[in-house]
Amino acid sequence: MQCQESKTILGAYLDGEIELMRSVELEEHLAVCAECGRDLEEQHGLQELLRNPSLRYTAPAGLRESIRASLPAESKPLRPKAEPSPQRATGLRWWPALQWGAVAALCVVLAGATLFWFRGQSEQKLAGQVVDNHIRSLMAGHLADVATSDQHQVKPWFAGKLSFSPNVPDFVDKGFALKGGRLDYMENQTVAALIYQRRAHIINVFIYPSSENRKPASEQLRGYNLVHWAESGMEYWLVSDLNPSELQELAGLLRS
Amino acid sequence: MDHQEKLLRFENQVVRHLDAAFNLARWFTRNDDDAKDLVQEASLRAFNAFDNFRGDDGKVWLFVILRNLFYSSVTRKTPEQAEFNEEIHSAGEPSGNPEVLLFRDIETRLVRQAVEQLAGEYREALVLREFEGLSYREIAEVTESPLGTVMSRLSRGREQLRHSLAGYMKNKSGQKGGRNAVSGK
Repeated sequence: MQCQESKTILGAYLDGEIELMRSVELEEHLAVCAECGRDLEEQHGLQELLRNPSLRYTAPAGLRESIRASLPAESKPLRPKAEPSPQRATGLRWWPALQWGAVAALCVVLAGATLFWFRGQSEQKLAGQVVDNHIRSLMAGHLADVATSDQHQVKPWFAGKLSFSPNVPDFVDKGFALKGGRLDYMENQTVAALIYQRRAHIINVFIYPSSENRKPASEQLRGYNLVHWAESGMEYWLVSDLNPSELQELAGLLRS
Repeated sequence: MDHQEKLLRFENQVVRHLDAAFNLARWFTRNDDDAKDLVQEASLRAFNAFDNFRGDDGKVWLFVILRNLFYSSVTRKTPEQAEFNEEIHSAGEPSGNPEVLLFRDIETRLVRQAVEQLAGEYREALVLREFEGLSYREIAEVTESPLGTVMSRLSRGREQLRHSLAGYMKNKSGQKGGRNAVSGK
């Protein structure tokens, strides 16, 4: 590879945006060319400068609320509702309404019960998947696709690989060190897996979009502890051999 | 779709990217007020078009709307034509007491200034990549450019940044010890 080509693709190489073969060629060139080696160092230096989180502007307070307030409160009906035709008052006018009301109430109760049962079933299935994924991740060399404690590297790494952007906080000061990130698969979709470490215990945090809202719940399965909940459009599953109370502590940190 | 459900989905898929949208708008407009207006207008348009949105995540989609809005109704210019406006830029900078400015603040200002001085098409590619973490494919989608163009804009933009920040970067790498002394205060 020539220096000219090396210069043009160096940035894309660091962004992980060139094919494997070309990155191998580039690495071979970088190993022998001192000038391009310096180029790489400078690129690294620039990346470090740009990683400063305060460069990014954040929305001023109140903007979110003012946008919410500006959204139409009700969707406009496609056609105007027909005016109810005036009826002669009769003694039994309320009777059909009552019947329909009873049917509707019964439907709601049945649907709720069915949903509850299904949810219980699917949660059990999910818990199984979570524990499987956790065990698989602990097998040699599969823990992290991007192994770094730098949250500003893990988050961008997920971008483009997922259709959502998970928060990647590091809680090293609270005793939960971020070890990296990984793509995993559950519920027929690609999910984000964050890896944290507490002493010798590895914790997997699986995150994926969900329209549900569910308070945190704990359970045990095959000797592993799990905590899971859903809020703000995301579902979280924590799994580890760590004791339940410390796992709850991490859940609390992630939720705050 | 039920209206309440639509509001909830919009919240989960679009409103949660408000910081990202504001960041992009702020780099486009170079001042807070215009950026707020732009985000507000883009959000409203997004909401009106939301029934046609197919996807789980509205970030890129919102960016496309916001960018089109900026180039069509705000400046009526393409990024190639939009020029750097020194007055607007300096008016937006917060003034601080130099004595209490920490090292990091100075650095933030310097880098921001360097990014602002990039030509529009380099700047937007760089902001989308470095601050919003978009993939090259997503940047191509937002800026309506081929992938190769995205790659070369990023490459040139970074080269210019390295050039304009060269003095600072050299200084910094030579003074790591001094820096720690300042930030450790």
